[in-house]
Amino acid sequence: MKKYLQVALGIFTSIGGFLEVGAIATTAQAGAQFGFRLAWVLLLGTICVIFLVEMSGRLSAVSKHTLQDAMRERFGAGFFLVSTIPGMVVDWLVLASEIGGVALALQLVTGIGYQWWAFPVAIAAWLLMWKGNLGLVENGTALLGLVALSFAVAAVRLHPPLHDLAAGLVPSFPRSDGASYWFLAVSILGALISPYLFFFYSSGAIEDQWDENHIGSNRFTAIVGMSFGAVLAFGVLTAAAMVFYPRGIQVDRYEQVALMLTEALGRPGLYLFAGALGITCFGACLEVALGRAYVLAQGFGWNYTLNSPPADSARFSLVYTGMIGSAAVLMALGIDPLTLTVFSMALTAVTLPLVTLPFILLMNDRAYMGEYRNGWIGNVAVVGISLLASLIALVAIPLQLLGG
Amino acid sequence: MNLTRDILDQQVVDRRGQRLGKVDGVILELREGAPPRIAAIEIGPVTLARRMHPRLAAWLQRWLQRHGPRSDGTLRIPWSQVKAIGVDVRVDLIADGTAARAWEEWLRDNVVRRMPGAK
Amino acid sequence: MVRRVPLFGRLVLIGAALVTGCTKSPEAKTEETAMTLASWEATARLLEEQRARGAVPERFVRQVLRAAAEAREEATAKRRAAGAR
Repeated sequence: MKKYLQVALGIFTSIGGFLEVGAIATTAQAGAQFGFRLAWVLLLGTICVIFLVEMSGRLSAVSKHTLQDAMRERFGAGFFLVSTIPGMVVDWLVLASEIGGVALALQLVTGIGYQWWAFPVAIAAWLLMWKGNLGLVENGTALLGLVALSFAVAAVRLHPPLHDLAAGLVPSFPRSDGASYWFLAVSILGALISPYLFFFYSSGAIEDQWDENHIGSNRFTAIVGMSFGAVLAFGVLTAAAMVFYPRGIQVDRYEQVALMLTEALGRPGLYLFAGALGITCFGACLEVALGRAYVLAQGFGWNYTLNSPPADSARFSLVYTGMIGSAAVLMALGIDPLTLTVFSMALTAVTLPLVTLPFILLMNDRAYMGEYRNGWIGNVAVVGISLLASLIALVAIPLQLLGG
Repeated sequence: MNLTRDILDQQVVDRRGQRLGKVDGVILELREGAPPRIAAIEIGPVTLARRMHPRLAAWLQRWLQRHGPRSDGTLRIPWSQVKAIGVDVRVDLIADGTAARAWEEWLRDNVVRRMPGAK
Repeated sequence: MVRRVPLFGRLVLIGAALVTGCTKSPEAKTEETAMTLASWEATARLLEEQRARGAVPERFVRQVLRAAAEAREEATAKRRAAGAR
């Protein structure tokens, strides 16, 4: 039973943190514009995320510190404040995108514009955090999120040419449209490797009181949970590459993305797409808002927990309340959710090293990790991929802003 | 013991396991003819801000004294009340009502409890 | 001292990006608009196919068509603005 619950945390983390509005939007655009050619970025991001999620769980299980606690202790107050501000801004934009994702899913089903759904969605997510507990949040989303399997089913039903998919796993340089190619590449990386994921996961591990005995199952959870998300993301890329790419359809609006599922699955496809988009984004709303609340509470040493009433941790509860409320305003104003999503994912990529580099230092620190320190493969993979993502993003974002 | 590594920025918890804050500052006592020794630890936004910039700290202190719920929210805990240093710094104290919890309690009473379903 | 180097590097990159971004030719922009228009044409065709098969509910068809109309309007406005200069 215990082990099942742990895997639930993994699947939930995966559904909310891995496959969410960012991954769906960026992989759909990538598939539509470049066919299978950006598949290698998806693979790279998945590898990096598996390492990082495993590390977050291991750090908490061994050191009994959450990632943020350990960072504040090890790198001091200055680093905490300096890295928190950009992280908070980016997470706020991401949160608005996730609310937009749920709102759009509701628009697809009801025909009522997404702006009108921003506040109802925010209130529903808020109520779940305010009244529910971590177990409910995790298991509910993990279970409902299985509807996202429809992406994988759709991909299979479209009979993708496997050799093209395999060829896409080898990194390649684009012949034209270099700016959008690299911009999409970093947006995918930013969508997959989201810092809030690690803060959330390591806090969940502490709230569920993991210890050294959990290391084995933590590794299993990280690999299975994140691979689950990756398979679904590959499903989105494949469906887009099969339906949109040959027809020359670029994905400019979420309404278009739904067409790839109706093409493969017929009428239920629309509802499956709306369900998958809505539930995964809803999970992500919870994760982003909670992740940030955890970061602030742990950085300043406040009380925090989801497992008792909000009055027991007032500041923590008000952080997620404020985040989700203000992000809903942005969506209610009618900002285009797809543009905001892809842009905020690219920004996430820029800020990645702010989290991953100190994280790697911690994972190699004997005082925290003892005999459970990182191996060199994890170190090299994480440092390499996150630095690469950040550098490419720094070049690609201005290019995209001015060119597009 | 390593001051900056084992004490500074560690989580402080009270007798009942309530979180008080982080060790934002360490007060040393200079003694003639003997090595300095730790007199107290400090928790509070002004102490934290002083580590960034003295002017920021002065500004924050003025603002908090005028508008904060309980003075500037700095809590100084004498070293004699520090009971254990491990994953957390345990202090012999009850968090409720201390300066470190001023904002927490103010927000709890004036905001959170007035919102629906906070009990 | 340590932070200054990446910041400088960033400025150089942003500067370089500004230069390349601003020199994007009007032809490239026209081409982009044309691609957007073509993409929405293709979307409408795909939608029509699916509608004929009964694969999409009418309410959704209207949503996509509205999105397509908005996007087309935007693109033509852009093209007109480019042509006027």
